[in-house]
Amino acid sequence: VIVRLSAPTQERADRIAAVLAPVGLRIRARALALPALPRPAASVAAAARRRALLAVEGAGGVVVLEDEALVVPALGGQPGQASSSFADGAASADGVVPEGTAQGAGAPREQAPAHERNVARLLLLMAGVPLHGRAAVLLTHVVAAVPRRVLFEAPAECHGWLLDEPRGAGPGYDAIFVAQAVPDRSLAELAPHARSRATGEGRALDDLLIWASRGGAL
Amino acid sequence: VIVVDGGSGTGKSTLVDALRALGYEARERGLPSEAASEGMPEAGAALPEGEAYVILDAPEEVSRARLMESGKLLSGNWHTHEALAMARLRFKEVARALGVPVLDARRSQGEVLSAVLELLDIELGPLRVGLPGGDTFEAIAGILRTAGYPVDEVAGPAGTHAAPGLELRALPPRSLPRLVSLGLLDAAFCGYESLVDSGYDGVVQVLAHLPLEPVRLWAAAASPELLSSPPPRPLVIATPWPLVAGRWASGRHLAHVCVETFGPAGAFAPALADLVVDRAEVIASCPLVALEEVMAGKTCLFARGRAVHHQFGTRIRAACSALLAGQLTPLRVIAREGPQRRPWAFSPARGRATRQREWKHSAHPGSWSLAAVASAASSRRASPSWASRSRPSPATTRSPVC
Repeated sequence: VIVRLSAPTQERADRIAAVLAPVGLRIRARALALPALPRPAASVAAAARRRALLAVEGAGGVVVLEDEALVVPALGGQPGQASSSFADGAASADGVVPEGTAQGAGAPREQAPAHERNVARLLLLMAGVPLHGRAAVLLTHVVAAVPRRVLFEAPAECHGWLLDEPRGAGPGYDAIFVAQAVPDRSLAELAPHARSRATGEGRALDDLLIWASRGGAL
Repeated sequence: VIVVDGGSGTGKSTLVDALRALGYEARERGLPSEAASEGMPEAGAALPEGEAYVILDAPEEVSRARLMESGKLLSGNWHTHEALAMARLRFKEVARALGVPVLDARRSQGEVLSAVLELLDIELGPLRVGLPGGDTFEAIAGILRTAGYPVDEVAGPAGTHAAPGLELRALPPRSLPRLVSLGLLDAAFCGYESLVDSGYDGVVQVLAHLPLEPVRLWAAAASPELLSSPPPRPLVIATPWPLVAGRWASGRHLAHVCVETFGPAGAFAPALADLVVDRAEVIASCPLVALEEVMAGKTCLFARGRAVHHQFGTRIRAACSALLAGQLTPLRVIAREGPQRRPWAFSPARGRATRQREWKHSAHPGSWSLAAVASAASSRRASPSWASRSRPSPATTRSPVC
């Protein structure tokens, strides 16, 4: 069985590969870009399922995909499914466009990496909200699919809150998200295995290993 | 559902009848027929959840012979040699495009049935069903009997119980959602609050809510102003259900840290926690102010994979309806409420207005009060250990919702 991986970062794809390695599955490709959806799905989990089905359609074999989304209830659930492109829709959505980045005010918007622009926009929208009202939830969904069929899925749900300025450097919203399991550090300040445990991703990958070791991908 | 598709005279009806006789839900015609007549679905579209497809294929002569045997007119539009040949070609194209297996239907009925079951990886073994051990086991066994699954209780609550077509296994309730999600069990019973707290509620499908073990979870604190004027730091919430409490708190925008108590949380506040989320009975027995209902739930049956459309779920639902209609009175059947409220689910489809309506509703639950619920629940419970405890007086329970 040929397995292709799709995850937000190369490091996360490598971790999935490490989980599947003992099972003896042959990993063909890592970190395929997460496919964009033509329109929003009903939920973050449904979006992950559709992305996996889209990813496997052209690739064949089995695709294991890890998707992640940040939900901020104070913003009505944003960024949600648009987590990876939150800053792109800024002008049309609410007119709040971060001109600088989280690290360098005044820098041209185009020069900053996408995740920094996303963080900057989120911080602008949350400006002035006191700590007790800055709840946020990081949703992770691991999906394995073959063409037109989802074989396996495992959810992870991490409740925490948003800092008012970035701490550490990391992908996504890691620099401003604090998981309640490790309340004194941002996710970006955690070692990869500690981050995985704090966000619940570790349990989802445990589930993936159990499923795969029982021949689920065969 | 097993969907059997293909051209006329290939034996779809015969196969569907055979599958139904084995206890599987099966039907004729579905997406392949639609695709053959109306075109392929859009790229990235999934086959409907819980449906398995197979397309039967037979030469035109075989199909016409079968149609004639069943008394069909061979001169009909769809039964001519040319029409059958065209349909055969189209179904083969659809099968390639959708990845649906094609079976040679020239073989005997038994051979085709065996091939389908093998192809779809359907085990003829019993449905693997998890049951919570303890007191609830007896009550669920009663419902199983009513549904036509008499439980062999020789093994005791910790063993494997035989019932026709089922393999019942008594396990810790909180382990059951994960086991079903992983496919180690086909279906299971447990409290709805435990299912939600597991986080797998979005992966498995709830088939039935049983009239057993109703639970109401409430948030309570020492001060009624905690939610309107929270401290300038994350709230500390003590609860046996951290994910349920977490969803509720995040839904109220409250940054928080949940402390799992592994038992009643009443003693944690106010010294060790700002807020407690626990059963109404526990809240009523503590000197705390009940702030808001977090969720309500009862024992539920949930499943994944082949069990979703198995007749097991239908029969359990019918048994529950019979119980609620008063035809039978098993032990501990005490709930007759309406639909259950889900705690906050993170879906973009649910807007802020919806949430505010829900909060408003839960802050003013109408004609009942927390003390009344706790009192009613305690008086109805058959557990001797509970009955022997002294119940808190409603007058000592300070509740803004009373």
